Amino acid sequence: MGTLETELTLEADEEAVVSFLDEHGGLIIRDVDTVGLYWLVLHPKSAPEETFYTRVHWSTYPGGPPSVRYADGIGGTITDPRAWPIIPGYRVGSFDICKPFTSEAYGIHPEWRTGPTAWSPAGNPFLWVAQTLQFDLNTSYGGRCS
Amino acid sequence: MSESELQERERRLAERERALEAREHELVDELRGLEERERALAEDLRRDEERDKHRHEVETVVSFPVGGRPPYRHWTDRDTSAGTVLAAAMAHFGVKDDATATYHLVFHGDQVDPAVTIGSLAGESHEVALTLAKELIQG
Repeated sequence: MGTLETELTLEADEEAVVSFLDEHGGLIIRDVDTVGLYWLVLHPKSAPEETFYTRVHWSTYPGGPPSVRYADGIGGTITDPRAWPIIPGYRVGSFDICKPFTSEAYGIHPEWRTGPTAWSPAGNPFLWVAQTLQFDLNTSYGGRCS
Repeated sequence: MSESELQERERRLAERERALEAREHELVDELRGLEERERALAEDLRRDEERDKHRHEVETVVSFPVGGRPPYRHWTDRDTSAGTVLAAAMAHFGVKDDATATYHLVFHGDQVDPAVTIGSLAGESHEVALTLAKELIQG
């Protein structure tokens, strides 16, 4: 899928993500210089004072999963362990999320590319990724990495 | 009876006839009014019955971002469990639990216990909006 199609489809799906994050006290910021790059500002429900900055980069949308990393701020470094929440499957040692909704996970587990774990482009995958990140923070948050 | 008496009687009869016609019009109007009132009452009754019918129900909406289908939408009895709604929503979206992922309902960011009732989630409201979440395995 070309960059223009990725950009247009993301724009169409973005509004629902904005609404969802707003309901949960979060924010979404689109990088104006890089197509498909977003920063999601998220808070765990149990610790609303904690802020996590998630870098979500779609190289193709909706046909493929995004790269998902945590950063120390909007536009910040993605290699700071303290930027990461402690959640099962979120691997601060390698700065990736090993669940079948990130490009990093599909790289580690090529077997996930087929069958029930295969990436689904149906509906609004951007909203699904945002909901998954927020839900993980709400239900599996074990604090901030140090 | 004299000619003038006959004319007077005729005049009175004509007056009486006009009065009767006027009364007839009044009665017809009154009847129409009553019919309209009856229709209005029947409509009120129908609306009351409709409200009564849904008084113990909640319009339950379950959205699933990657479902590729419109949200699941159903009037649900307040006593219905979230687990029942979950099963119906999963059937609606054509998904099921497997070794790689499980599904559950999310309400205001929290996973919903399948045992709770829809009424307890809705509170005083007559609608409740839920999200179907796909919980993924980790590598």
